[in-house]
Amino acid sequence: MHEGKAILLVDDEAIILMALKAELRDALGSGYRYETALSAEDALELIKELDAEGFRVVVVISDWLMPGMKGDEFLARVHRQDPGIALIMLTGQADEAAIARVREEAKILACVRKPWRSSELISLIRSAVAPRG
Amino acid sequence: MRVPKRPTVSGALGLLALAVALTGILVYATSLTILARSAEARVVEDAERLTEAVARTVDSVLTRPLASLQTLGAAQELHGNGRAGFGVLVEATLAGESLFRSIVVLDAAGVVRLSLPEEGFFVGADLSESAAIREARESGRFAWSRVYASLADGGRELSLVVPTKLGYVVGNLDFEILADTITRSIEVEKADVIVVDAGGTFVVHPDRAKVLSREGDPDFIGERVKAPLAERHLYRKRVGGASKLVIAERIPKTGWFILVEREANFSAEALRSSLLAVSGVAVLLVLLASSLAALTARRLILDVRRAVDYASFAISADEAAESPAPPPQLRYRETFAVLEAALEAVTRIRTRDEANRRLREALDELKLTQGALVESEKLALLGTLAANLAHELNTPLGAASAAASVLGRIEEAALRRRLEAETRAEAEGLGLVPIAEAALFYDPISTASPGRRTEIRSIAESLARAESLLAGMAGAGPESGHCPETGFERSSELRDLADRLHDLGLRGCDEGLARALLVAERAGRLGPFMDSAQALVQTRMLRIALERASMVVGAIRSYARIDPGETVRPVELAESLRAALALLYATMKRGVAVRVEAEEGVFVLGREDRLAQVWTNIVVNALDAMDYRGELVIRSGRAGPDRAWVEIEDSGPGIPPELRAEIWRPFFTTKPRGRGTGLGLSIVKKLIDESGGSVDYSSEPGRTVFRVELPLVGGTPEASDA
Repeated sequence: MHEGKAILLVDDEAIILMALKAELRDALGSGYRYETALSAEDALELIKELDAEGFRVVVVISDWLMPGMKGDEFLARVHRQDPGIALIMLTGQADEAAIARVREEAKILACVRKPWRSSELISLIRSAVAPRG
Repeated sequence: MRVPKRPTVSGALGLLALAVALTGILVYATSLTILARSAEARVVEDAERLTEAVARTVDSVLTRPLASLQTLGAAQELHGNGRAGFGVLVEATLAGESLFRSIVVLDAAGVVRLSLPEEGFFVGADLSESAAIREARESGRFAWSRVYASLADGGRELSLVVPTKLGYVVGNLDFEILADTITRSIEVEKADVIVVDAGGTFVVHPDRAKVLSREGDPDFIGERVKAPLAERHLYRKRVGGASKLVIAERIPKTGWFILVEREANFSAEALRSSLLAVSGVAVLLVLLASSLAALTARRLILDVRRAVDYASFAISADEAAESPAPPPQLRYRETFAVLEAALEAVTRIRTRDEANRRLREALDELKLTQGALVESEKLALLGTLAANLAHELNTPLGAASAAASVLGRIEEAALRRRLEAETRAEAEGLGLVPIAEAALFYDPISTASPGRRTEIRSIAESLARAESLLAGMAGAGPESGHCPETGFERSSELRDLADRLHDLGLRGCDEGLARALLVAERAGRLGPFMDSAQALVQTRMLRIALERASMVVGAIRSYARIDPGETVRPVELAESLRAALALLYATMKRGVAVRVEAEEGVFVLGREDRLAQVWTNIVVNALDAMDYRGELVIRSGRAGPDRAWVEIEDSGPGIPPELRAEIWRPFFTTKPRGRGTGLGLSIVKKLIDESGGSVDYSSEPGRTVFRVELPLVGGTPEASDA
């Protein structure tokens, strides 16, 4: 079974998801599947579904402030399930405690503030996926 | 103070009991004494009579003796039972003639006997009886069953009085010759006791140190008399369980006493036990009286204590405490008139303290007001900052919106041209039109919805089917019933295409569109077309995002209220509510589920900024009450032809009944200092009142609903443009 690679975007704001998706697809091309989820709960489900379909999530970009499970808890869980996934947290709010926690527990690659700079985000992702080839 | 007017019942009862007891004892004791005295008096009378009688007898005996006795010598008497007695031989002579001879014996028991020849036998003595005495005795005229005798001078002298029917025979006999013998054989202290009569009368010699019992009666428990007897001596003796009164009365002209015994009419024991009983009752009554007195005293003491406690508490109490407790109820006003005055003085002091406390409270409130003023100044400053922020943002937003608009029109035109080119190129019609339409009406929210994966899959499947159909037409015929399987890579490519199409807004793909897409793809026209469509989609995203930013800026402006041009005009309720919420979404996301059920097209008359403040204040209060966790529902609609209503419901713990009237008061707040001025709801009330509306709430734990009603107006579309 060929294993495809997927990039997962999680945010409760649809416009962020679609904007991010368009930007990443534009920059990184069709080599990846770009999947979106409107909540952390949906995202966790989606990771399982993708795995069943033969797709491996290589990068997760998640917002912090969402109704229900917050981003820090979500990323910590993902990290526990699969430490190999590169994790990036996007946030428009400065909750210091949450950021510290997620750095500690989820070993995130970076915490990027909204509004993000495209070039910064793209190079982060490239560096995240490149070594693995 | 409420007190009983009568003196204490218990105290009165106590005193009464005491008086009764004492009186009773007195009366009883007096009557007993009187009775006892009268009984004694009777006995004394008896004794006197007897004494008189005996005195007369003795007198007559002593003055007219019949014969005299003379001592002849010592003698010894022997009895048949072996007992021996020492005595003196005596002879009684009458007119020179010998009457009889006898031995007078004082035996060991202290009994004087005259021994006559027939009673025993004598040794060494010749006793004979005169013929006259013998004759008198035989004829029954002479008998001596009783002898009166007294022993004096340490046993040396015996006086005898022998009654005979002929008269008394008296003699002082010299026992000296027997003295030594006698003292050796008997106890000198034993008195001789003579029976006067069978009723229990005795005669005792005064020299005796004590009164002896009659023949050693073991029941006799009389007194010991140390000193020689006085003229009369009264004492009691118990004989066989019964009590007797005894009087010892001196017989005149002799040294003898007569003892008169009588039954005590008033027994000493009865007297004692009845006295005991009475004393017992008296003691009980005294105890009762004293306990009642003690009770009264205790109550008095308690009163004093209560009064003193109140006083000291009231004086030293914390002035910040609540209003003073009322003075305690005391029982005895009469007794505590002074304390009452003292309590009043204390109350006056307390009232003064109370006044001080109120002054302090007023001062605190002033400080709070000052604090609130400072905070409202801050708010005013914040308003200015916000207004500046809004203005600063409006400039770039305005420019960006214009640019996005222009860009949008350019891209739209470009897409149309491509579409025209496409339709010219593709004879089968406007196959790609759906894509252009989708792009024109692109909406990111529906594109990102959870159902997207299913939609994408069905688009991909549709494409795959179209592909195999096209392949079938080119190669293997449909009659073979077998379609070539799409390779994995191609399948993946189709999936990716479906995703990209979905991202452009396409929700579904029918046969015709699928075919058109594949044809265009093969011709190399699909790529550029989709790029144009994407450019249009992005400009739409731009406009959507800019609109949202503008709305937020508008909401800030509304709330900040620095807009001199703001006038009263029709405002759409639903939009006004949404604008107010716009600034709060981020905070609410932390744990509040928001629902807005606002009827569209409902207009009220008012100033936008004022209305924004009203909704914001109520909502922030609701959020605070819920501690930003729970459910917030906002509804609005029409109520009748001229009234519009808005309801803001929260799932917080509610407003407790005791605070219900307070919440509208300026500066009233249950929040800690620094968090909220307490002005929010008072402002709301003021603004709504000014707008001719009403605001009220209902509250129970878990559900609080604030309801605002405002006059309804007909709205005009242009006036509602914010």
